[in-house]
Amino acid sequence: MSRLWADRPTTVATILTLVGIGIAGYLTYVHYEGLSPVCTTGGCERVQASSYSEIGPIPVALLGLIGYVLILFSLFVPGELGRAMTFMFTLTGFAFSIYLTYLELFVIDAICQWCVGSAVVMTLLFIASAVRLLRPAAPARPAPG
Amino acid sequence: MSSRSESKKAAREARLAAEQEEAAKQRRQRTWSLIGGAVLLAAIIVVALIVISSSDSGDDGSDSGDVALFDGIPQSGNALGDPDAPLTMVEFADLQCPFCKEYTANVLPDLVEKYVKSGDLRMELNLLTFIGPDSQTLAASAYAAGDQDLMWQWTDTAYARQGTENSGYVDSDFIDSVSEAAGADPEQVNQEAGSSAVSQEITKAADAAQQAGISSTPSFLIGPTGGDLTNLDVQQLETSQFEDAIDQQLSDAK
Repeated sequence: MSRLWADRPTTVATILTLVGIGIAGYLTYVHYEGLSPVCTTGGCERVQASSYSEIGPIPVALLGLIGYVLILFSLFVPGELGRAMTFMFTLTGFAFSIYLTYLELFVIDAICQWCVGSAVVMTLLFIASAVRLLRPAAPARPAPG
Repeated sequence: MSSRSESKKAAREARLAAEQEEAAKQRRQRTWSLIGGAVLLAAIIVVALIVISSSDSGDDGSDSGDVALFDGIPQSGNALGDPDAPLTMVEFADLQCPFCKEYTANVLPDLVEKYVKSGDLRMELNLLTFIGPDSQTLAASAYAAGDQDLMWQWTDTAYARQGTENSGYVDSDFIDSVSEAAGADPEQVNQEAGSSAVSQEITKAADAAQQAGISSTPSFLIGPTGGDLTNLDVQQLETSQFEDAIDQQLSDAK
């Protein structure tokens, strides 16, 4: 755990993931409770009422929540494989966020502040996970000669 | 002797450097392999999600809905059922809203069969237009069909043929085909849709929604006919949840 907090990109990614869980959790809650999300952009209800707000029987908000939980889980998987898992999940979330933002702007014609917030969080998470994966590892200690 | 030891040291350092370089090269290769795998997997998942999302977002088929459901039930404008029924349920809907379609396909028929046909419940349909321009066209035509007392058949058919919102699927051919399937005169619907009476109906529905604090669709009010109506809160669009609320209201009314 102390190693996690000493590692800056991982710390940033963990905090961002918790923010993402908060946003997606809230949207999932209002979806299942049939409530209107608190909205300052005026487009949340239209986005929520859109057919794009569900994929099959699964609300997009719940998919997001599952995605963020998987990211959180992967942050605790040690080694390069764990970092690659985080990278894969955040890349998926980032690419899907681009698609959802496109739908908001050009198809549904409404902007939901929560969706934009989640898209921003996912973009930052993708950057943080790429840094974690790509930054040069410490040089290996020379083997005794 | 000293030069021999120095050359051994240099050789060892060169070997170590080569080993380190080789290890770093292998690490880089492994990292890029992982990145490649991650990108491929992410691409597969995203493409699958987009394909499912697009195919889910509506169909422009030629379903006719269940217009026979309303046979023999009195209709007047946006009202369905016996005007003297003890209970009234008001629905706020947008004809482009997929959840309104879901309610109309899965719950409405049961409620009509059980409560409207028996004379216990009358229904009113208030159409909102918040999803976009196509909602406005649909609502105007639906209210226009109400002039022929066929609004419920019209909306049922429009839901059955619901397309992707704001995709422009609501063109004149769409409106005419829905009118025909609903049993309404398409020309009369088109004429009436542009009337001031219809735009007043749409404004009235929006005002009623605002007054009742309605912010999403479908939303429902229920209460004694001619009396104060209250919000009918349902957690899921399931018949049983509506039945519980209606049964409770009916027992209160008796």
